[in-house]
Amino acid sequence: MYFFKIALMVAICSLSNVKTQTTHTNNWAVLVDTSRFWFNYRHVANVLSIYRSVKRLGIPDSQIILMVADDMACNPRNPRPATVFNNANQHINVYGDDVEVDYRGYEVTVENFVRLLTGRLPPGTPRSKQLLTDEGSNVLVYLTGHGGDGFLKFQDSEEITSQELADALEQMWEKRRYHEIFFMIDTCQAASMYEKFYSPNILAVASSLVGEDSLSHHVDPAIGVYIIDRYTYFALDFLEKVEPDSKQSMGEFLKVCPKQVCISTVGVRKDLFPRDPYKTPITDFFGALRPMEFTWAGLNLTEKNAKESALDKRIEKTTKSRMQYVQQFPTELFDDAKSFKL
Amino acid sequence: MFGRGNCASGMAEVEDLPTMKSKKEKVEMKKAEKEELEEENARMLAAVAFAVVLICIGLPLWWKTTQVYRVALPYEKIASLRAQEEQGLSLKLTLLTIEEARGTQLCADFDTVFRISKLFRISCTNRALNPSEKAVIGGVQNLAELDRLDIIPVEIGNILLVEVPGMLRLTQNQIVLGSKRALFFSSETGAKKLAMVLNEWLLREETITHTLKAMRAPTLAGKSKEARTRVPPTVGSLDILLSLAVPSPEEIKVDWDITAAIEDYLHPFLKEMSSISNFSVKSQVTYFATLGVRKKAVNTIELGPHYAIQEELLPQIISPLEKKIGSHVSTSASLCLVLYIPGCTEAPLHFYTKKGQVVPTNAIISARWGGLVVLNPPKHACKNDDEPAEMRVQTLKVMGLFLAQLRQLLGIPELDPIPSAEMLPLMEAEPRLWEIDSLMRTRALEQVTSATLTLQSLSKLLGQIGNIVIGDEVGRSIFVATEHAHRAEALLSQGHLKEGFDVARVAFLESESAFTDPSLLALLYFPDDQKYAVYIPLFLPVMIPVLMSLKTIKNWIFKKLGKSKRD
Repeated sequence: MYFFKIALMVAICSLSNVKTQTTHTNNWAVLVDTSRFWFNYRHVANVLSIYRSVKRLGIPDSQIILMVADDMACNPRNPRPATVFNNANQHINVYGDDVEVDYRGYEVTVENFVRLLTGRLPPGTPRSKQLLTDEGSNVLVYLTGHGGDGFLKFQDSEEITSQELADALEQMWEKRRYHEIFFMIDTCQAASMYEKFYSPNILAVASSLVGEDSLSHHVDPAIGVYIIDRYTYFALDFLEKVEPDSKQSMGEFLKVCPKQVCISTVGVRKDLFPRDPYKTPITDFFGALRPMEFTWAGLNLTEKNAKESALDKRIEKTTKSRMQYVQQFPTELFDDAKSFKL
Repeated sequence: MFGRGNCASGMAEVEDLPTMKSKKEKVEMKKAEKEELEEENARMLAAVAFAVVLICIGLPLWWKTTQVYRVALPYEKIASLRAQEEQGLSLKLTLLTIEEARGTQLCADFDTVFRISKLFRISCTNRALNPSEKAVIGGVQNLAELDRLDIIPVEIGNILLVEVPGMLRLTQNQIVLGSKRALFFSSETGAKKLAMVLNEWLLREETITHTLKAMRAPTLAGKSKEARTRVPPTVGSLDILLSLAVPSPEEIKVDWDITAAIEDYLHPFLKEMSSISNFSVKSQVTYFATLGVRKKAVNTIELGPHYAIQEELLPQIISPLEKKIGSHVSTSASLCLVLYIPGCTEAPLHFYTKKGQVVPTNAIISARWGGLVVLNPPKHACKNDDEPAEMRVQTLKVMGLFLAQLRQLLGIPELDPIPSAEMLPLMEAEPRLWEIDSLMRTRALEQVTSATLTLQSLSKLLGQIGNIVIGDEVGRSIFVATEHAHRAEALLSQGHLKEGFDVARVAFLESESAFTDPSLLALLYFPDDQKYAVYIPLFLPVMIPVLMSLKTIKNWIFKKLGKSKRD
């Protein structure tokens, strides 16, 4: 009886451990909006809303790469300048005053995107434009814009094919630049983009299957354009309830936006992902938890006395002569008034 | 002709005309025929000339000028790197014993034990201690003195085993591992114990094999603690950022001589480690950086009223703290060492484990990020409410903790104790020489493996996509990397650890620079379907008449040949 109880407790403990066991060491996010023009306002609102959620859950700006193809906040057609809203009731300004866009405007090209993923950036690229992931990084990749069967349109002038994207992710795997990737895409026929993936440890979700269109959610009559897409709207609804210490799982997130509300069918690709999504906490991709351990003992060092005193003297000397008051009125100039010549 | 009978002369005229006409005509016809033939010849020759110029000269010229510039790569050499999956590391053990026979016996035992090792090739030499050495060892008073002895010089990577007569007067344990490359054992120790100490503390074959396996096949390696805490090889130098974080400077004034602390304790450590990688040290004082987790106010008997942070909340500490620390400013990899001084309103602060145990050191460490030490202000300092408390940081205690954390972060592990064997405790900042050797071995193998994997992936990519441009720079890097990878393997298997490590580092850096070269972008090449779209409208209108006239040319040539045969 005793044995049975202990065995049961051990089993339960190991099961709960399995759920919360994280093996990654840091989190990154790559959020891309690929479409320009005022009537694609909703794509910018999409990507900025995901950016806000991810920041709120803990990923710092230095680990988020935000690529926005057009500037809606300062667009001359924006009736509310310097703001971007994702809801008709205009409660939250997702643009805010601390948004950090890493690739803006015409810098959002297929070439820059592939260079960012594979790491083949020209020397001298600033750190905020580099994806400095390592083999313990979990990366969240979010793409939004206009897409088709097997391609995603960038800037209304070029496309990235699903094969190129799959090859770029494979190059990332070859250099061990990620631990796990969560790939989210909100475009028309989005599922075609993840069909060609062949690298391990990727979990992909798309807002629509091949042959279906992803639809936008609602219009804001005050601004005059569609404000947000359906899939992202419901995904945000879910993420608003997540806190940094939440216990919700990725499996629940994959179920967000059923067909009645989304009209398009959400597609999921799990075969490349080794873990069960229901046992993967959502903070694995959306939060920034780092595993920590205690240090139980330090080194017993011997003190270095003689050197310390010399250093003290040096610091004393420097602090003494550093600052002094300047005389309010330079009387020394007029001390010898006769010799003062103009 | 005139005046002959009408009929007869008329008939004669009539009869003459056709023959005359035919002669003239025949000449004319022949002339016309000849002209026609010449014209046809000229036409055909022109067509032949067109065909020759277009097909024999034009086509090869076009092929040559549109060839993608590719430096020939040593594909076979790169593929042959894979064959040596079991990297051989060579090690020399030197045994100094009282009796030579004992040494020979131990060497033979070591040979048997280490024969099954896949990674290491141990060669063992032994001799007896000569009287002067025996006298020196006999004159030693304690273990520290024994450790400072330099009996014979030992090369980097090799180990010296010395049998100490009368070890019992110095220590109860049978084996003592010093801070240099020497291991001291007593006369009663058996080969099995020595081999265990060698394997688990010095050679660490299991860890190295596991690391290499994790590099080759990360999905199969499993999610062990070693896999998570592994330090990947870095390109460029490693930054060490030392921060003093004071969340409430209005409540407490901290006095810490950071410059002296770094110069006295950190620089000696990093100087010894500089043979493995480059370091640069930065320090800063940050204000208003908070831990940002929920603190529980508790009251216990030992510690009195204080604030507690539970182990479950620890993972949330780093990200908000890192925003203030600013380790992302430089492009090199960085390790952050943060000393956190809580203000009077949140002091004293203690960490609690899941089981409810207080952590006495108040220090936490996160692999690949750095470490955090919380130092509470003394109780008497916080009593005064009017003015800020003053606090002087105990450098020794803090630097001891930081150095312990830094050792772990850089890959020097905490070794499990072995019964009746001891390691002499570390009294100074510099790491033990055999620890550096061990680290050098692991790093050298990691770098060779990483270079091999990179080169193989690159050769696969460049082989598959036939029209990516391979520039001179990339080709040179690949050549150099391959050469050095081969040489590094050879040097390591012969036992030259330092040279092998340096060559492996060059191989690693060159392979990285080749892989991340900006010119290797698949988008820049000319895909096949676009080639057809460009060339067909250009060449087809020109080639169609040429190709169609080839048949006519063939017929004409055969006709000519047939005619010349007949003639």
